[in-house]
Amino acid sequence: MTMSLKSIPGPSLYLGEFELLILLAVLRLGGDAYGVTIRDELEKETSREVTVGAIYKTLGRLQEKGYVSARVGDPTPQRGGRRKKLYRLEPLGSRAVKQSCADLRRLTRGLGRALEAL
Amino acid sequence: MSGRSPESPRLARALLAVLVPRAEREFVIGDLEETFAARIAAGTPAEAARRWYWRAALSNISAMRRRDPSDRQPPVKTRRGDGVMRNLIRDAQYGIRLLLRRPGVTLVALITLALGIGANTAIFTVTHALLLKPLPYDHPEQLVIVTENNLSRGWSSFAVSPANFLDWRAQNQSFQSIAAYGGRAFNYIGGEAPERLRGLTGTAGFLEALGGTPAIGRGFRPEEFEPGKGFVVIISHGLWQRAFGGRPDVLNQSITLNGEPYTIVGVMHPNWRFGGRETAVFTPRAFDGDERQARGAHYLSVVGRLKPGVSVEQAGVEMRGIAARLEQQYPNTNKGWGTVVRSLQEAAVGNVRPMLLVLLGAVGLVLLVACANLANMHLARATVRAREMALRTAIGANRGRIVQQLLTESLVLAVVGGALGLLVAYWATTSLVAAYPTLLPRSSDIKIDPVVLMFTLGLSMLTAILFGLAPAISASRTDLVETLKETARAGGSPMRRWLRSVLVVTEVALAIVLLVGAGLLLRSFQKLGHVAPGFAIDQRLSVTTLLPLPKYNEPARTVDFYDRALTRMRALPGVESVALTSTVPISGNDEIYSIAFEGRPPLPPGQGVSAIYYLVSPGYFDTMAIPLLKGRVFTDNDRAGSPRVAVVNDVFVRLHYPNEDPIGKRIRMGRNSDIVREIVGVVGTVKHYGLADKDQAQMYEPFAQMPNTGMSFLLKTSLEPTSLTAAVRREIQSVDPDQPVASTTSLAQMVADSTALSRVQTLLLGVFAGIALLLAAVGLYGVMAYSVSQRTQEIGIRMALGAHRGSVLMMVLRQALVLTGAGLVLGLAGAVALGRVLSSTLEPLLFQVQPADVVTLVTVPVVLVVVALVAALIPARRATQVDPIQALRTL
Repeated sequence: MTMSLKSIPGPSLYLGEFELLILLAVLRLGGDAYGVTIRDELEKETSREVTVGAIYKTLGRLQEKGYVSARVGDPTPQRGGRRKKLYRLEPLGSRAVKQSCADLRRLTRGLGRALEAL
Repeated sequence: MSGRSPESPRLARALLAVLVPRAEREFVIGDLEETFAARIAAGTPAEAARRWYWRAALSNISAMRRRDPSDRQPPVKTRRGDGVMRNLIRDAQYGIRLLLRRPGVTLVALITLALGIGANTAIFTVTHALLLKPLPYDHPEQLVIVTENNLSRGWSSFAVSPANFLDWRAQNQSFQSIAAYGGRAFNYIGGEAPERLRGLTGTAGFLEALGGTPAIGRGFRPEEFEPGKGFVVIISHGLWQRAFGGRPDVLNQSITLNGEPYTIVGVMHPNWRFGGRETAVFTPRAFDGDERQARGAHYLSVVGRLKPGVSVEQAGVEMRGIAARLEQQYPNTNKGWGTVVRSLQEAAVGNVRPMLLVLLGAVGLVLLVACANLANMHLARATVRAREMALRTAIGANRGRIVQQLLTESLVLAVVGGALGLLVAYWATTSLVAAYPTLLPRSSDIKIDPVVLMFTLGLSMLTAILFGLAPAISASRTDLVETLKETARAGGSPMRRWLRSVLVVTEVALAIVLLVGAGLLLRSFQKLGHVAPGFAIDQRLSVTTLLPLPKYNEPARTVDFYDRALTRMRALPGVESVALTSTVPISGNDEIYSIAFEGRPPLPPGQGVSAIYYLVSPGYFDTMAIPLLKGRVFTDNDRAGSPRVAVVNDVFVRLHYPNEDPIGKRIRMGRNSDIVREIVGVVGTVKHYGLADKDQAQMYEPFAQMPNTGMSFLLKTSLEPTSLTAAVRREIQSVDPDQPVASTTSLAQMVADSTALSRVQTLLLGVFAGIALLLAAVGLYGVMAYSVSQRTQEIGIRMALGAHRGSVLMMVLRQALVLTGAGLVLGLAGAVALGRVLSSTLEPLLFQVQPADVVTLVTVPVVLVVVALVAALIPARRATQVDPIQALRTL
């Protein structure tokens, strides 16, 4: 049980499922992660329908925890002259993602057949 | 819709701006805007994209405001201050509890409010859409319609002649662009069956002035407006979808219209509209050499876009100046002709404006009656609640606080009633538009939008103040000691009783005004129904065709087509006779030509006379049952080679041959002024422009002597006329398989359509008057019932002293009649004023009915008194059943 956490020093970096999904989307999007692109990414790659509102809310929480940082982009005409808020993973966030993914991998290891049979 | 790209819903954006936390606001709205724009760009219809935006906005708001379990904050401590808001909420909660405790009374109040506010919202929705909402074009205030007029001949607005239009275009300084246009129908072959398409053909700049840039492809090029080069077409989005499956390679394809090939150069935006209905094809309009000189023939419509800063009035002044110059320059054709510049908005709604204003006034009165009723109920309740108010005062509430509490209760009631009213309005407007789709212009704009919502909300609040304020103030004026005394009788103050009587008198008076208004319209509508149109309308079917010119440019071919079609239709079972006419009366179309009389000196310029012109086949007068008054009608012998003949109507004779025998007189008509025709017969007059039309001079020419390609068949049938539609269509196509039928309508339907506006306004005003009458009756009942309950002891004493039941009954009824009588006198005075308004608007709403119509002014008071007596009878009977012993015991 404690084995899995042994290798990672520092406090527990627990992530909720939605938080993990959002961080993964931010990671995939590189420098272009903001409400619209994150939502599109999630809708494209997962079975969820999400609102940008929920995304911003979660990102706000992740920012407080120091997992992501935000910077404000340039206004565009399609947005009616409004600016974007672009997000980027911080080292702490990267570690949390790494840890959650490692947990998931370990838990699903050897379950390939069983999962497909579900 | 204009060509500019659609905008996201403003109200949703405003909601987001208020409800999304400031930190994320800009980014969330920006994201939604971006996605909205992307959806539009991907071809999502604007309406669907807007619906999406609304859904997204609402779910975003709810997602961002939902409490998140992971970052729960300590509850905010309520502070003691913040008084107004807290009181408001507490009063509202208390109000709701009170309302729920007395569901019956609440229901009556809510129905009253729903009807009052609903009627107002419904009429406002229509008024807003038609009179207030800007047309969906860029800078709609710059768009104007320019027409000619000839006041000496009684035409306040008339079509424009090509040469005049060209001079306007060359000489004006007021317009960015000015363009002539006209409707043109096209026979289209290529779909499953031949089809007739509505088209618009405009000169250079016509589509651009109205923002009609194509969504795909291009607009017309300058050289395409030259004669003979205009075989290019922009098709509507609808036709593109229907006939080409929305394929993108439609550009540069050929399409056969009226038998000639046109090249498709563009597809219009899906939402672009001009003139209400969807137009399927647009083609460039060119003037050939002859047409450029045509000054006396008026048939063009003209739309202009004013330069920025130029007002409609300024443009009007300039155009009148140009018209005056043309009048001097070309007296023969232009004497008496002026120009009129009207805003497109005004031109688009034209004849419904007086009706809307009258209805708006009527619903305002209904709401006043409703308010009076509710105020009455509240006053009665104030008496019941006097002890509660006294108690509140005793423990420290000041008058302001009590007024605030009572007003808040009224507000709760009004807002709920307003919400119900919104439902009523939604139902009423959608069913009105569904029942009469062509009655109102711009009917697609008639919907409940944010402006209507604000109107309803504002109206609800105003209503709450109207019916809540007086009772609240009166209730706050309580005599503390008297009311709190255990033994005190729950009695209304004299002031309150007086106020209630005033309210009932007001209700009766307002109801009278509305009833008289509705009565006048009803009488007027009845009179209209009794007008003889001058021709038979039952069992008659009109079928219009338009033969394409290149194919039918030989008169012989045209005659042959119609002859064969007539023969085939005559053989149809259920058809008694068939005839042709160039113009069907009451259809809304007309042709008017000037007349020249042989043997008389030519009339001076500007004083010419004219008549409505019909081209008909021999059986026409029989088929339409138009009576022959003198001479003969056309026969088969009036052929191409035979002497030219004409038939005129009795008005024509009265005007032009007052003391002579018209038979044998010779005249020339308008466009074919070189042909002299002999008058061979006189027939009765038909109402051409509608039943309310005044009788006009009319003249007829035989079809065989002047074949024309745009004729209508008129069938006299023994079956239900429209049941023959399919058979008639089949016969026409068996003569020419490529020939579509433009329209089929029974004459009865046409006449009904022509009186629809009158019918609807009569119906609506009748409904409003009915509501007002009902409310007034309820109000009277309330006051009388209350009065009886207050006077129980007095009545008991009277009966103990020997009063008869009959005299008690009379005593109560007399009181009701005094109130009703006072209302009657006031109401009749108001009604006469209303009658004046109805008959003095630009297009009078009354037909052959005087504002002081005796029948109406006698009937309405009788109805009202009967209703008032019925309303008072129930409390009066209750008064007679008072048990004297019981009444005296409680003394």
